[in-house]
Amino acid sequence: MIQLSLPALAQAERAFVTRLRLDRDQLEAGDSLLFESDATSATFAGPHGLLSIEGVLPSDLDGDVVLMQPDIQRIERLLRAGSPHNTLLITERCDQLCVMCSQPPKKTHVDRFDLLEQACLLAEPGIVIGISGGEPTLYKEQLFGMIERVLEARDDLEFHILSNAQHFGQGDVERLRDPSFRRVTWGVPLYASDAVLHDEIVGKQGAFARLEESLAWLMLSGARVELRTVLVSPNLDALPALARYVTRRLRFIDAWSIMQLENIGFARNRWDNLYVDHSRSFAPVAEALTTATLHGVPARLFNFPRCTVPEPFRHLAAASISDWKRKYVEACGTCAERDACTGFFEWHPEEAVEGVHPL
Amino acid sequence: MTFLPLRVRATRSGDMLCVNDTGSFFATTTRLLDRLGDNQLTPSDLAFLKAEGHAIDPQDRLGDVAYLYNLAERATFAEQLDYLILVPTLRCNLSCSYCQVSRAGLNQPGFDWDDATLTAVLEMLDTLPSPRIKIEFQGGEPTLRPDLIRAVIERCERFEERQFVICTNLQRVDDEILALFERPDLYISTSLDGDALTHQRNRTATDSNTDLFLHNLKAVIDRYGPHKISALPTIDPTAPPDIDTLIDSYAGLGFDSIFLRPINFQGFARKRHSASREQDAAWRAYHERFVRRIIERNWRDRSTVLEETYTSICLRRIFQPGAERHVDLRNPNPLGIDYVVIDHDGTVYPTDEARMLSRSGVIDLSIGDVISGWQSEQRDLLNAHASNFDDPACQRCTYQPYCGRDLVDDISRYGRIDMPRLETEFCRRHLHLFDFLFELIYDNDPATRYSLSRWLRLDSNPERLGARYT
Amino acid sequence: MRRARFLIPSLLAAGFGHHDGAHANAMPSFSPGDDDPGKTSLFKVFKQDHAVTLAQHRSHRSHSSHRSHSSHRSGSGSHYSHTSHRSSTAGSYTAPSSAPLYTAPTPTPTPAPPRLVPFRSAQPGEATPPRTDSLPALSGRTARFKAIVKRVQIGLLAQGFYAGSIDGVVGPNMRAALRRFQKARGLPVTGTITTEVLDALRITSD
Repeated sequence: MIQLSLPALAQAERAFVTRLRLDRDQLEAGDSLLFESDATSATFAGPHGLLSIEGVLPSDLDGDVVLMQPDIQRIERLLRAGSPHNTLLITERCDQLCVMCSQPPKKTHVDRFDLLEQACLLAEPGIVIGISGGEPTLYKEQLFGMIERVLEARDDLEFHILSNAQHFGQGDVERLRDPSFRRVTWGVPLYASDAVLHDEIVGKQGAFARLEESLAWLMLSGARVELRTVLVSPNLDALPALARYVTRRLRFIDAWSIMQLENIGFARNRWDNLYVDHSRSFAPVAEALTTATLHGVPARLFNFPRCTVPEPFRHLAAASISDWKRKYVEACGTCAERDACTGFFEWHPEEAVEGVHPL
Repeated sequence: MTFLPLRVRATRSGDMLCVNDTGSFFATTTRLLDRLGDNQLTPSDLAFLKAEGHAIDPQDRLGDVAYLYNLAERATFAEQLDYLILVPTLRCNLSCSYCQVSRAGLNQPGFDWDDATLTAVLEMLDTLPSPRIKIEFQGGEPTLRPDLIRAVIERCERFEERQFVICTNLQRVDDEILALFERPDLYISTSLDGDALTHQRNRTATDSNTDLFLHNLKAVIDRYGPHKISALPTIDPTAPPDIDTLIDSYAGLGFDSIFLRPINFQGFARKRHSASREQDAAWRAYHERFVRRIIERNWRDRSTVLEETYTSICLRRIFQPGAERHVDLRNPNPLGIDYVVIDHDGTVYPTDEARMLSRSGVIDLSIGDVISGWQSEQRDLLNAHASNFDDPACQRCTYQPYCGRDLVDDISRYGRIDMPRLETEFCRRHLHLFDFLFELIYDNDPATRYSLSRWLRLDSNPERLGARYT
Repeated sequence: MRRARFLIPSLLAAGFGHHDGAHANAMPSFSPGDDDPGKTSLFKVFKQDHAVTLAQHRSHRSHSSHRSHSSHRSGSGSHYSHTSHRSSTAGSYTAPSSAPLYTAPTPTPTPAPPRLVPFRSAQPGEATPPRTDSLPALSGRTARFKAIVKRVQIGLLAQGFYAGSIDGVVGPNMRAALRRFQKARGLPVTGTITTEVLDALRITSD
């Protein structure tokens, strides 16, 4: 597993963002250059002074954009060079409380917009930067401002923003119609086409109705939306109805991602009540996928190991699990489709790996 | 509650097929329609109509916007030119009885691009804003001028996505042509009218020409596989070939898509095949038998999936609006915007059929030329009429959302575009095709569902393809 | 086509008039040509980025889109991708299309699965939350860190920019000294130990 947070020491007293470089020739404004290193640590010098990072080879850090927090003596690797899986966290507050939440919300908010914006400006060329929470649009003004400034300064970057879409309104339409927002995709969760069931899963009354309203505004904005449905026991049998709903009312979406559960956060304690062994009950998933394909809505499967998906649908199973928390099990050793496969979450329970076999 | 207009048509099996402006459809009985007319809808009627997008609550903003979106999805949006049909030469080394462009003789001078035309084409390529380009080389026989093909292809290196198609009779496949074929972004399109005898009668004329063609066809298939090449039959509807013989001649070569094309009423065909002006019931029955035969064969042998190309395209158009860009069936049908034909003399036409019609002396449908451009009044006048939104017959037609408008076809057959729609070949052909398709869509026969599911590119065979409300 | 005479002399003679010209905009907010100046029509908003499939017409069947089901079903290991691919340059996703363009006709290795929007993985738990819990002090790192600061302090002292103690701590005096030094040498003035400062003092790693 790749560590995203590492012990570190800096001269500076306040948090700062810098990009780490090993090669003097690559230095640009804001970068820190490696000064010295040994087997267990690396020391960099940059505009914010000295920065010493523990427990990692300097070569693994080359090009990383890191956030140093002197008060807790740690760095966060915000944007890892060469990784397609970089996500910035805007806030830990959220106004939904999903039963399977992988990162349960907190009441407090630490405003890091300035630092995150600096990080975005230092990003490698042409990457997609993930934005997550909590609920990022709780701070919609700051969020939009940051996105707009970064996209303006960097026409090579794109954003993918996870949002529960409880806060879009008519007033956002004109702003979101700006051509720069073609480089933003909103990842919006929808768990069922039945309002009561959806509200139950997200732990908020009226969430479905508010979501529908937001989706209308997003559609009018020409926004790019990826619809995301986490598979849990309560919505398994509701998937075919959801597919029909999507193909009639949400044709504008760019993609529909059906996601298998991650055994972390709330889902860890509720695993037995929530986890669906799709290798045994794939029929509703298959029906939903076929309905979507029939009507030209591109659907795909996230976090579904390929060998657990019936062959005709296997091509829809994407290698979705982020590199830093992906593992393969013993049976994967000889599998011909391993590279195309999502693998398993580092924290996936053993019993869910049963039946895994090489293809 | 807003009820969106439904257009209703009785299907062959006695159902009432209801389609709204967005192409969303369901089958039902007259009872629902009666309740709708009498304002006697039950709660379950209402729930169904709302879920399917045929009725919208006043507070349902998403339903409102989705309706507009779905409407827009059915309409063509053409903005950038990214598809060119180029005719570097009108000369040809064959003389087919139904040649649609009245080709020029092999050694006739003055039927190739001159230097000024070539330069203008290349300079025009440089100005295209699209990052994608598709170029189809037509003729005449374009392989007579590999130098011109090369010049064009070389100029396209800057495009992010490129696709080239050479439409050739495969009479000449020498090293120079092969060097072009080697490109992975280049495809070959040819005519194959069925078995050797039929092909020779219609096209190649002599044994040696036929042998050469078949030898070359097999050689390119062996070298590149059948997916680099597409072949199309042109069929004399008064004497169509035996269905299995035709299918076998295609399937035997590894081709799985067969475009059943009756002789186009163009060029030489206007004189030599005057019956091709309109297809009759016999032709439509032949087409239906052909598709049904393919369904049977697909069911029996699952190793390949055969299709009749146009039937398959129209089927996908019903379910998957916007998924494909088939320029022969679209609404509106913008002319001279996203694709154009550039003739051997630099004249620009909106479609290949418009070129044929002009070449035949029927009507001048040119919209400009490659040197001075084609943003002409002529083009605007064509576009003012190029949709099926305005036609009163289309406005009432159940299949309007799936159908298109083909001005050139009307002119070709009738000399006018203001014929009563239902009396045109285009309309009759498509009415028949969509009637047939909806019969298949609501057919519970597993063999039918299997083929339809493949043509729709589905990963499984759903229990039903179309909604039904009883 | 230059011809003196055509059977039908003009478009007007073929029924092109203005009788239904008014209907060209039968769908006011949708008609492609019907744009309020300065305002994006809803039609265009809905249609943006969607015209990305290369066209097909009847003189040849669509080469690539068709390949889909046959290769998919052949069990050859090559999957059908009903997706359009992502353009090679940054910045634009492509809309759904049926044509994987520019594909070599030879059997290809399993193509990437649909890539319509970025594969942002699973769930919100992707990002590191701001941590507030301090971890155990860095093992021995402090001493090593201090050693570098001391060498800088000695360097600055030697050049007359620093008069404080050689304690390995970057305090207010040290920061002021760094600023004076940077200014005097024409370096970016940060008040911190930058690469430029280390270079200027000729301090290299041991």
